Amino acid sequence: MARRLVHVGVMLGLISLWACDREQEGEPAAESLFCEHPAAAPAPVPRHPTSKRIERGLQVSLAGLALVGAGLVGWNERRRRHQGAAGRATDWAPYAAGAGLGATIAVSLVAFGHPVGVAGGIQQVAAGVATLGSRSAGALAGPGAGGSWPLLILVGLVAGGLLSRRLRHVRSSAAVAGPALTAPLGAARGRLPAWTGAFAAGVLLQIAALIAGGCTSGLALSGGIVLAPAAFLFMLGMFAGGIPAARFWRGS
Amino acid sequence: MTMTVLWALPLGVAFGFALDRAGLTQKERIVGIFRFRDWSVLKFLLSGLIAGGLLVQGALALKLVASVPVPETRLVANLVGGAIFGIAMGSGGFCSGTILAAVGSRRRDVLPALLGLLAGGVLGELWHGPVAAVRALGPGSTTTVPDAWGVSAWYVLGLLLEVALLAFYAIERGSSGREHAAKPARSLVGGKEQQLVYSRAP
Repeated sequence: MARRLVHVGVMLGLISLWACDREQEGEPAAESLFCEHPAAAPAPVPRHPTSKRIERGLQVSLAGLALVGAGLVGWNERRRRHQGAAGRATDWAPYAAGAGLGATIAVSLVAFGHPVGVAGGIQQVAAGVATLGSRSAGALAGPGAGGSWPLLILVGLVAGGLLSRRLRHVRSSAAVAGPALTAPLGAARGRLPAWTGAFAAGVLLQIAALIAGGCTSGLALSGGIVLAPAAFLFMLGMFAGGIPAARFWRGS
Repeated sequence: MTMTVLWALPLGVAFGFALDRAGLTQKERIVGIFRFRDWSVLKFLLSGLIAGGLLVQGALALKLVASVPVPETRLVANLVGGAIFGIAMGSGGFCSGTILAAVGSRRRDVLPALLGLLAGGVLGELWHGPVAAVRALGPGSTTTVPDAWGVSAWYVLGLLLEVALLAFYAIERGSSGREHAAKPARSLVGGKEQQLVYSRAP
């Protein structure tokens, strides 16, 4: 396990150092429904005059931090297992995990000028799919809306879930599914198969993110961290919609 | 494309890892916040806001960067979009990020939701007009809360911190472990997870 973590850490470090040798990319601001870049601002995010050098320093520091972080996570995992973690939850306290994600998003905003969102990447993929059917529909998202950043976030996100699972030493995919929850919508009343509820909720999530300008991470967290009113309005709406929905489908 | 963009990968990995380790890939956790039974989501969100906010404001104060991207505020769109998002989240027990992280942890039950996300994206492309019309309702602005109030960002962060600490205090004291009601207890037998036991706190 420790060896595997060292490999991950070294890989992260190498990627970081490689990335540090390159210039900051000058991607055009995205013409998108999302605020991946500030949508209203056509120009790239203004940076401090000395930011090039500082950015490079930040990125080199991040490479080191990534190594240290990966090492710490590995040490912690190993310690817990050696303490006989059988039967003990390997979940982190939500405070620690939340602070970790907050720090990750802050790094992304400060060092790279990008929020960490999911819906933007999903939309890019969807735009690609839509283009297959209709060129004009696909063109709505604009060429390369948001660049490769949101797509790579998606890839990393899936990899992060996988890494977490591997470190838990879970082998069976059924083991982490938890108890079967009553699926939402019609399925909750046994009229439709369970997957339809999840599918419908997924559709709604993405359309809602398109309207709001981001999802929980891309708007609520990435926006809240920079104290944008949009994030707090989004969270207000989220709870206003979520509380009655959860009570309606799942009972109080 | 230059190579700086590759930084998105480790950041995404950290994102997915944090979501999975906070237990937010479990539907019951997400639904729990809307039923006031499991406060993990609120703790996660507020901790993230505080930690990230302090780092960003610190970086701005140290002049490491001149500015950071601020999403556009659209009163109607943010509220309406947020409400629909909440309905989907409260019904399905997941949000966009947790779906992807759950896919990574090989959870088959979220695959329909992932397809739903993509279908929603395609619909959004096809219905670009109506979506853009809702977004265009009301004025838009990229002003931040401290700018709107005419105060330093540190005051707003301090206020947020106080609210968060009060919330944490109330949760920890009031719930006295109720948030663990849906917390999975791993059952490792012979080094292999056999099943998850969802235990209720006494």
